[in-house]
Amino acid sequence: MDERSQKLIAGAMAITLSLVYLFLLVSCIWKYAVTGDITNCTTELVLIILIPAAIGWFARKDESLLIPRMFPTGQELPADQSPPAKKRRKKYYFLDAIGLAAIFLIFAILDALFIQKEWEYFVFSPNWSKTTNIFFTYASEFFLGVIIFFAIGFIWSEWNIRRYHRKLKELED
Amino acid sequence: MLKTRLKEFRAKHNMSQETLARLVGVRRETIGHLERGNYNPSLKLAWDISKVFNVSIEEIFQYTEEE
Repeated sequence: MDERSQKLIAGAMAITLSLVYLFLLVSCIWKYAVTGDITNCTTELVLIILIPAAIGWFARKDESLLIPRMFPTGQELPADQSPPAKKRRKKYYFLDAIGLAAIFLIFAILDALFIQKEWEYFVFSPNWSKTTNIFFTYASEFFLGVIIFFAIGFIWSEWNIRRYHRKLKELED
Repeated sequence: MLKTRLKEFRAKHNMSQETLARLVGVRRETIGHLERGNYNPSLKLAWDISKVFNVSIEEIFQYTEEE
């Protein structure tokens, strides 16, 4: 296979994979919405996790994959260790964390409204109304999500940036 | 096998990998891999690099038949 064929096939495979990924997402959401049971989506969920993991594994020699990117644009964050770059990265980890926590919150609300058809909540105070307790349950879930996603994003991305700089140093030597 | 004198030219021009990468529009690690012989450049990249140092492509990259 020559260079031209390889490029064409790589492009075709990327488009096919994107379509498969989209199909898996839609299929998973549809199955869950219809049946209300997440175990019906096990195959889709496993593939949704496995596909990017496999791509990452086979492309692991590409150092640029270590650099954190903005969600959803995929634009690279500054990878240097200067204070402004660190500050900018932290800002984006925070925004990513808010975005992810918001997505989870929306799914939780949609799940309660249309699938479970009941609100699961923690009774913070028996003196509060049910609505107030529900509000504080979802608000606390959101804030906890922000903290957890920020911590994961920060630790994982900063560790990858250190690995990236180590590799660059090796290539410089 | 492609042999390269890229590191030598870069040192002669007192140029960092980062600067060369920026001038030819690639990532810094690509220059590192080129210097180590881990990666064969496209004709365009080889052309762009030779233009930066104002020499011919053959002066920087030499192809030798593997035995």
